[in-house]
Amino acid sequence: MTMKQTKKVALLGMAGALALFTAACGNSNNAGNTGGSGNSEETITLNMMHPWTSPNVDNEVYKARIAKFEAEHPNIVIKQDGVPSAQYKTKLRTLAAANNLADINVVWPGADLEPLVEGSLVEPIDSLMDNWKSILPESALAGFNIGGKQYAIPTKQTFVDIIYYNKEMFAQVGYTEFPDTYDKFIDAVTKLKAAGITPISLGNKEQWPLQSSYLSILGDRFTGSDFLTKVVNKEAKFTDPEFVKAIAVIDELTKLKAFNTDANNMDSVQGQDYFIQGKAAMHISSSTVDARIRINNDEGDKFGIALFPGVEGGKGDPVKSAGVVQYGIAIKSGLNEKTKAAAEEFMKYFVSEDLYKELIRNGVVVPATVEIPGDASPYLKEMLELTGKGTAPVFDSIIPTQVVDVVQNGIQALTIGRGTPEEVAKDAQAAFDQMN
Amino acid sequence: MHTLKQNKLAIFIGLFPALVIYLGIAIIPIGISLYYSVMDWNGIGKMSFVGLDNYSRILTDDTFWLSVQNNIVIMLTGLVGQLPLGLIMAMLLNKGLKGSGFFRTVGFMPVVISSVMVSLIWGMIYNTEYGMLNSMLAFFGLESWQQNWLGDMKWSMLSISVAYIWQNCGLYMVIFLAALQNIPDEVNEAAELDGATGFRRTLHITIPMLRSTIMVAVVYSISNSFRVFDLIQVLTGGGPAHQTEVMTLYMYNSAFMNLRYGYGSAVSILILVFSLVVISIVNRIGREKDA
Amino acid sequence: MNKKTPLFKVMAYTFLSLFAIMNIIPIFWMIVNSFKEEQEYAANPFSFPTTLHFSNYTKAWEIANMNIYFLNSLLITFVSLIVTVLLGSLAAYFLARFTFKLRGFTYALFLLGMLVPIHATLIPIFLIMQKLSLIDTYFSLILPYTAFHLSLTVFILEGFMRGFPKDLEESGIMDGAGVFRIFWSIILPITRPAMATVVILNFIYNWNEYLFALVLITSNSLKTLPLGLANFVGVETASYTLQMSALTIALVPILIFYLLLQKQLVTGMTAGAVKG
Repeated sequence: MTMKQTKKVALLGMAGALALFTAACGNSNNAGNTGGSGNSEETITLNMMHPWTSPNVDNEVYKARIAKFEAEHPNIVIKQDGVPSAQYKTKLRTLAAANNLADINVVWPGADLEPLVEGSLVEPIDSLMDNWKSILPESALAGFNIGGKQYAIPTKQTFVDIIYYNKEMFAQVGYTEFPDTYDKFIDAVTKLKAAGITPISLGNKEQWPLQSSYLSILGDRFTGSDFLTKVVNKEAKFTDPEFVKAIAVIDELTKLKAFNTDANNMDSVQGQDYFIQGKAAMHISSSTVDARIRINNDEGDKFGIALFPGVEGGKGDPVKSAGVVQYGIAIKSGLNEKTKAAAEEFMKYFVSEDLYKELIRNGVVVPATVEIPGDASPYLKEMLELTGKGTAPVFDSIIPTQVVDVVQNGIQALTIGRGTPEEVAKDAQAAFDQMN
Repeated sequence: MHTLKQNKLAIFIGLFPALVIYLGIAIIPIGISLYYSVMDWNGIGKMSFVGLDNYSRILTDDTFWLSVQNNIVIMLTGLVGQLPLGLIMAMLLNKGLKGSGFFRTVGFMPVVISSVMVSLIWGMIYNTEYGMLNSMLAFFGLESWQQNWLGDMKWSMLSISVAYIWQNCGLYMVIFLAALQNIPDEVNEAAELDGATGFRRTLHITIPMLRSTIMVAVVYSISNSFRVFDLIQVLTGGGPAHQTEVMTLYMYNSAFMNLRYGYGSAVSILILVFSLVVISIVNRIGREKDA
Repeated sequence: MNKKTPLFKVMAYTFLSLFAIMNIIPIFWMIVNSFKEEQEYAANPFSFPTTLHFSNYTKAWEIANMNIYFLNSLLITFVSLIVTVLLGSLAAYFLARFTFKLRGFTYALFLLGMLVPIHATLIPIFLIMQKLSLIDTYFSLILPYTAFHLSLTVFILEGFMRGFPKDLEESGIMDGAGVFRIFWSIILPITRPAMATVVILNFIYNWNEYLFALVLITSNSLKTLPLGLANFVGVETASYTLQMSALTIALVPILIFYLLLQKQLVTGMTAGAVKG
């Protein structure tokens, strides 16, 4: 082979590479290979992507429900793609970028859903809403309603701000009941600390606990429930004094050394375990983890649940709990007629009163107003009672992710003694302003 | 060299298949990233061209420079920690010692262990209250030395570095072991006859003969240190408050968590550029020594 | 070579033993906990199991879908490995032992692949695979695994091959052997330790690869083991003990593979092989 030939080949290779490159860059606007295989037997395959892989009770309920649907609908096959929950969003976003979503998807409400709607990747389901009118309150649907259209139906409700507390430890410092005012709460923290007990176990490595479980409800107690929406609509600012006061609580707790020393290097599960092991008096987390703390624990009796107490001069209602609906089921847009009909059929069947009842029976809180079965766990009944008096919004379901990121880092910095609540508020507002 | 160099057809046949797969799958994505890096794009909707905006924003972000600094710490750790340790292990386990096979196997264990385990294990070593390290210090009466190893920003990068050395030094041990096989026994024996002692023999004969492998290991180590992700993700998540963040984490958070895909792509291009710069500097130094 | 002094031996063994302990304890701890109940682990991660829950292993096998994923992982790992090492060693040979015009450029190109942060390539690779209609097939993993590890393979092998004496091929040329013959019967045999190195590295990287498998595969029947191993952790929940059982199972093939190959690492070139 001569030198010229070599050059030619090299050029050819580069050209081929370039062709591939431009091809990949050109936005792929084909609707994608949708599930409808459309063969003569009329079997329709629906692809479904969900994060229900871990061995939880609610995941088992979902999978059983899917199996039941398939049994009753022999002409529809649900092809499941179970994605480990920690990376579910990474996959969802990659598929979204390539306009290649599954036919049925599990989506998160609010700020997470918005880009999918803006990109017209999910289908409005307003025509199906009669199905859920009687059992789902508007509050359960609001997070999946964008621009007046409904895009998904939630299966589960999570209250993120449950305070699990160790009754013995509180009794030891003179509290037989959980403190019902902020001052008493701080007093309890101080006394626990003095008694050599770590007041609160926190696992904040992933950063969302302080934001979701703490700031959501602290904010609500000080500012009231409409504040976050107002911020998004630019009628209020993070720098408003009430909200700064809410952030300052985290600063105050840090200064009282209320958290375990390793709070920032432990994940949320390790935070739970620390509490279960009796190394701390309180743990603030979601209603979901009651399974690990009490329901499946032989010694679950020693733990009680409570909500964060009201604060003096606060605009919020102290009986409210911060809750968010989870696992919205959404249909991909642009499906062909048959596939779409099948997907709608699935959705009506899957998210139904039966599913909610089954979940409750297994100790899972649901957004629907359905009767509580007699055999539900007493712990669950206690949980439902505690959280049933009104719902406050969860911070990251309203506020855009970029701002959430700034806030999470800001309040984490407070726990290592860097920055001030005012600065966190200022940075958050700046990040928000920059987006618009 | 020799007459073989004339054989252009053979060279072409030898390189072509590898290059096709490689260019098509590994190089094109870099081109695509370069394209995204000059776009404002949330990963879903419409893109808009913003020129070098992403780059100028990144380069004026303190958090980014903090992550660069942390990457440099990791890189130096790799170079002064992993490589010498790997080399020492390889030389000890090369020949002669009884039980070498066993030690060669356990020496490699941390490389294959899953990052979940790395996280759990080092979390327990470094834990302030009941961690093994602090307990050991207490055992020796050194309570004043106890630290919040991962949470205190004075110590966190150092602690991560130690875990990083532990995790990867087996990798270099294997590479050096392989290289040592190509030093003929005669060379060592000749040196011994000359009365060269073990240490001098290592310095003057073995190391120079490993020169090209050492360069390979150095470049590999640098490239690994710029791409480190899992270890830090599982140990600290880049926190507290960005203190242990590295560029890849910064990139991932921007692109996938904060939905700034164009911005994230620009970070990935910068990672590439930075590692190229460092590697070419190192290469130059390596070549000068050669002369 | 066996003229080590006693002092040297004591020091060497002390050093090696410390090192070994640091590396074995984690594995030991993992195996101990893999037999415990989750609540037992939550209450005290350092305790020994009160009873050995062997059922953890069957549960873990099921949750991680190992029936299917294990074979997929083996298949994808080995196919990628073979293609990578075959193409990579050939490319390395030409880059190391020949001079030609684009040598430097080609070499630099291969180096580039070692520097790309893998997360940045997720969406681009997805788009390419979509264009090639390969999404959700074995090829969608084999191709990226091969491409990205070609970098490392070429890079390491080239470094080794370049270090061989310059007159190595002379005997082959005298015998009138062609380039590929020389590659096969002179270069490859003495590259064995280095080949063992890259084979081991490729095996580990392919076996543990997670991100590409995560986004490029959607069918359950095609998924690989690392995806199954992540099935144990939910958003706020985790089954650590079951996960440790699964991790222990997943470690076995790597260890067997390494044990088989580590002998190759230290049986390389003998003086005889060079004479040819």
